[in-house]
Order: sequence, then structure tokens, then C-alpha cells
Amino acid sequence: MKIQDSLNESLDLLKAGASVAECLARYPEESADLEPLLQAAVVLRQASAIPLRPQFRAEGRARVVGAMAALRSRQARAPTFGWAWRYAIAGTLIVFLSTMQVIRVSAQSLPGDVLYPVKRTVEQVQLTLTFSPTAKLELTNQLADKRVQELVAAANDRDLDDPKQREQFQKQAEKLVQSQASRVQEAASLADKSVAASERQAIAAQVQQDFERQAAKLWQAAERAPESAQPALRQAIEKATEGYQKALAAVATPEPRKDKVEGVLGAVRPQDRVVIILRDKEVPLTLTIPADSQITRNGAAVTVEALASGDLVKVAYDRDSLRAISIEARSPAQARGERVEFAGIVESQQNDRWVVSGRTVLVGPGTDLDVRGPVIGAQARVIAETRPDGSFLATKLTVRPAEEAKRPETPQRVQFTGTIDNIAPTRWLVSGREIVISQETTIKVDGVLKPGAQARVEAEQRPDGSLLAREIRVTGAKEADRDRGTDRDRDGDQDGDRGRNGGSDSVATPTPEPRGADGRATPVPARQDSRATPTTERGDNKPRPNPTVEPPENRPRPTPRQEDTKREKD
Amino acid sequence: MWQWFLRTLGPFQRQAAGGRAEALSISEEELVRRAQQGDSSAMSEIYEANVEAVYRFIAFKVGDRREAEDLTHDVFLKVIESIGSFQWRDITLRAWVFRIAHNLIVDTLRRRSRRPTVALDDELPLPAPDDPAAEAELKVTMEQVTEAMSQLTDAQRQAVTLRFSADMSIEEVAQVMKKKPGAIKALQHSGLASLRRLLRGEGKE
Repeated sequence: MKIQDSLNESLDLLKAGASVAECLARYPEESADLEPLLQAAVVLRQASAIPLRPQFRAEGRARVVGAMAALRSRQARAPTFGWAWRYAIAGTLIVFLSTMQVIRVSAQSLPGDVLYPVKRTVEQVQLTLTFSPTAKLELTNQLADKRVQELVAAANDRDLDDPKQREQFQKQAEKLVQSQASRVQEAASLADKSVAASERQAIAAQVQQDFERQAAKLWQAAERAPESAQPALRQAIEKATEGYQKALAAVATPEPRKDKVEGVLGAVRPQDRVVIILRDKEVPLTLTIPADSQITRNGAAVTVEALASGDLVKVAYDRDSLRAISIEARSPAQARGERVEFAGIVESQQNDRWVVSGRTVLVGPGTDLDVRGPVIGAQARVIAETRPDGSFLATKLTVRPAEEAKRPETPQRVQFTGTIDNIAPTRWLVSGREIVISQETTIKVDGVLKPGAQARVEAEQRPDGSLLAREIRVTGAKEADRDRGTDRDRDGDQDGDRGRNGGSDSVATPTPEPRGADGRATPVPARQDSRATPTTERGDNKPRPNPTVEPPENRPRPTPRQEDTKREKD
Repeated sequence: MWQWFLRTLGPFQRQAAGGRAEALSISEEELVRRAQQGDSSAMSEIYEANVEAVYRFIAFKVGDRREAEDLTHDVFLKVIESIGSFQWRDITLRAWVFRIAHNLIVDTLRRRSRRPTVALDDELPLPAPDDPAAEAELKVTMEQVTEAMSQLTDAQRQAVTLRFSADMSIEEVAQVMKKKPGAIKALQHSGLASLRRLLRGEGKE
């Protein structure tokens, strides 16, 4: 056997846990030659065992998920070609191979190189030919990254005391700023294009990470660069920061997706600034009324308190957050004789007097009455004329058992951010809105879950108008976080680098956190790990919903403290 | 037709790869197929399975923690971009990932216009953070090894780094470096022999 083979087999044994002596014993004739090599291998293996920061691993995982989401979005919008087309395109490509070779080589060029303009032109063409806003933002990100790398390379390599090179360097810094402006534009257009909330979050996280990486590189470059280059670099960093902040704001708070609805006000709750609108669909629409909503009644500007049940309304609203943008209401007296159409639940019926979702509907000789099954609790569709007293004279009344009523094919998705008013096992109240918690609800908690904390809710509107939560992300509760900050640092954050990800690192339970006499959080005995029930009570055995509670993806887990708690529990 | 031909040829090519066939586990093929279809969880698995080795490989080469982390991110972004074009022919997924990592390192170091291996920075986390004496000793060892590695030939250095930092088998190193396993064994032998001499202060032969 060759010494190379013996060495390789011995190295595999070492890797499997054998000692040098054990390896040498297997090859006694070659032990003299093998020993120094194996000793070197041991040293090399020891020096190569560079550990990975756990936080970096988590960040990377989040990036992978974000990048995959962006890729899927790009693929979904990409055209597909048949084989004939592919051959045709391939043929065309061959013709341009020589050109492509130039382009390929130009990719490595730096400002001042002969091929650098080619590289920038290719990038511009890439940008022009990228249509999806998500992909465009991603490409802009990559190009901004390239500019930073070029800038850093220039700060290291160029003689910035030479006026010509310094001027070129300053131009480069300006281009970096331009690329940031482009990023802002893309982010803004992205927000307009109705990108899904989850994807927007992934993009925002990606933009944030890219910025942190680029800023770190720029600061490193600024530290190394000569005095003459400092102003240009610092300006680039400031402009880049500004651009990223604008981009993040644009991604996080997109323009509202407007929708309009006409119907009858079924209920008004001025104290919660909530209205329920009966419309021609089976599902009533529940809207909140922000302070800046424009409200008119009979042509005059009014406040929400002036609205009354039974008013006919035309409403413009944000279909994602279900916030009213403008409400145009008319009293029944003003709108007398007008035709209106709405749906609701039959609450009572006495002779010709029906009550449908709180509204009185009169059935007369001219009413086309179509009733199937029991009446009370059934779904009613009303076409009627308004009367001055607020009741409706039906021209057509269709009544169907609730189970037959047509369900919306796709439940309407709702998302909004509000303050948690109350937490109960199956229902939470967020900014006056009742949210139903089910087993499928995912609850993510940054900080402490308690009334007063901020919550971002993604929910489906159910046929009865209530909101079924799909995901609740609890944020805020800054005071509680500050209370626990010292403990957290002592327990888990030894690298001092956690602030980079927002610093939310404790896996909170959705139970209001009990505290001991010293004010410290006391571990909750049941379901201390990443899953917990949203109950405010403990110790009973009643079955209750079991929504999934997840820590944020970029959070290191488990922290040493949580492991300790688990061990104690075990 | 051409696609059908390649599909038919695939298994024979794998067989022809000999020992490499073992590395082509069915589950890994399935993982790649899912990742190619845009499955984030599959890509996360690929990431989890390789990130540590890729990071070690890069960190050992570039010697700077932050840069190693950035490059590791870049490797996986490149993997995501290119996974659609990955085909099971004469290379495993792991070897393919490391080929990407190697290319990125080469580009980076070329831009830096420095020697391929530089001194490890103070920030690089060490494997013995709780024992100051061991940490100091290990740091000296790492510096000596890094200095010695910089004096190997490019091929020796790459073979040894892939074998020890990335924990690759001879076959996988051969795939990354596009050489025969026998050639890698020879590089490994000569690389370790030089390293031994350099660490003993005897200089390179």
C-alpha cells in the first residue's frame, strides 16, 4: 500500500475519533513516516475548528427563506418557453457569445478600468428588463452591494492624495447615493403593487440586513481611508442610511389598497370608532374609523358620533387594514324612496314586520317573498326602498337556511396593527376589535404579552363578521423589556452583538407574565418552551385552543436561561 | 429528446462516478428537487447541512470573521440563484456548494490583491472561549498554521483546506477541484509533509 493511501485511511480514522497511536498501530511498517504527518494533521484540524456564531446561523436561515420567497415571486412572473423557442434562443446566444465573453470579463472590472462602462451598461439593461417589483428591488440591492464593494476596494487601493483619483472616488460615492435613491423608488413601487404582507416582511428584513452589511463595510473603509477620502465616504454612508430608512418605511407602510362599498349602517360603536355595514354580500363589513377619516352625513361634515344605524352609506376603505378612508352617509329621511340592497340574519318576524341584522324590514303586498326553511336565524337578502322612519319596505325578500347561504369563495384577509385591550382564552380584544383565537392561530411574541402591548394581526373575516386570527405578532411593551434587560444580558447575550437584530430574544409566553416579589419574571410552569396557550388562567384542565407561539426567526434559541428552566422542569 | 437522453444517461453517469455514487443519497436528490421547485424548507435544510463547513472553509481562507460571514451569505444566495441549473451528474450537492464557495473566495482575494491566506483577525471566534490559556495557545497555533499554509502551493492549500476545514472526503475534494482522487491523495500527502516542516521551522523543501 502506498504511503498516500495509508495516510488517507489514518486521517479518516482520526476523523472518526481514533488516536494517533491507534492509527500508527494499524500501519507499523510505515509508522515512522506517518507519525509526523498525522501530528501535523491533528494541529491542522484543531486550527480549522472555527466555530460559527449561533446568531449568524439564524440570520442566514432567515435570509435563505427571504431569498427563496423573492425567487419564487420572480419565477411566478417569468415567462416560460417551449423547446423550439429554447433552441432559437440558444442559437441567438451562440451568435452573441463573443459579446457575452466581453460582458463576463467586465463583471470583474472596477471604476477606471476600460471595461467598467460595459459592466454598468449591462447592469442598467438588467434593471430595465426586470419587471417584477420584488425582483427589481432584489437586483437593486445586489447592485448597491457591488457599488459598496467597489467603493471599499477603491478606498483601499487608490492613491487618494492624487487629485484625479480622489475626484474619481468622489464620483463613485455619488453613484452609490444614486443607487440608494433607486432603491427607494423600487421599494415604493413594490408597496404599490399589492405584494403580500408576509413577502413584504421578508423583503424588509432583507433590506435591513443588506444595509447593515453595507454600512459595516463602508465604516471599515472609512476607518482605513486617508483623511481626504473621509468626507465622501461619510456622505455616502449618511445618504445610504437615509435611503434605506425611506425604503424600509415604504415597504413597512405601503399605500392602502382602496375599495368601496355601499350599504346600510347595521351598527355604530362611537366609543370604539367601529361601524358595521350591511351590504349585498352575506358577510357584514366591520370597519374601524381612524381620526383622519372624512365623514359626511346629508352633505355636512360630521364626527362618528353623528352616524346612526339605518343610514345609507357609501364608504371608501383600505381593504388590508379594514380602516375607513371616507364615509358618505345619508339619513333614512334624506334617502327616502331609494332602492337599497343588503343581506343579514333574520332576528325576528312578527306578521309583516321582520328584523334583519337589526334593521326593520316591512313586507307588503308588492313584496316578492321567497322563503325556504325556518326563518329565525336564517340568511336574508333584502331589496327594498328606504322609508323616512329608518325602516325598509321590501320589494324582494329571499330567506335561506344559514347553512345554505353562499359562503365567500375566498375569505377576506384582514391585517391591522393595534393595542391589545384584553386577552381571554379564545378571544382577544385589539383596538376595540374582537379577534377569535383558534388552534391554527400563530402567535409571535417580541417582549411581553399583556394588555397595552402592540399587536399586528392577520386574520380572516368570518361570515358573521368576526375576525379569525391567522397570525398575531406582538411587539412593543418596551417598559417590560427594559425591566428585564439586565437579566437578559447576563443570561444570554454574551457577544454584545444582539442589538443588530432588534434585541428581542426571550421567548415569551402569551400569558401575562407573572412576576415575583423582586420584580423579575417568574417562569411559567406549563408549556415554557416555544408553544403555549393563550390563556390568562392556569391550573385547570379544560381543553382550550392551542395556537402556535413562535419566536422571531432571527432569534437565537434556546437561550441558556431557557435550557436551565427546562432542566429544572425535567 | 435531448432532455430524455440526459435523464436516461444520468444513472449511468452516477455509476461511472464509482465511489461518488454513495454520496448521492436519494434523500439529497429529493431535497434538491424540492429546492428547485422553490421549497424554502428544502433550501433551509441544505443551508443547515452545509453552513458550518462552508463558514469554516471560508474563515480559514480569508481570516476575517465578518468577511467570512458575508461571503458565507453570498455563497448561499448564489446556491439559491443557481440551484435550478444543478444536475446530478459527476458532482455531489456538497461539492457543488464548495465549488461556488471556492470561486467566490478566489474572486474576493483577487480583488484584494493579497496572498490567498492572511493572518487571522482578533475577532475570529476561537473554539476554546472559556479557557484563556488554551485560547492563547490555540491562537498562536492558528497563526502558525495560517502562516505555514500561506507557503503551500495553491493546489496543496486547497486540498488540505477542503479536507480539514470543510471535513470533506477525498472523493468530494476531487469533485470540487476537478481532479482524480489519487491526485488529491498525493496533494494531501505533500501538503501535510510541507506543513509539518514549516511548523517545525525547517522551511519548505
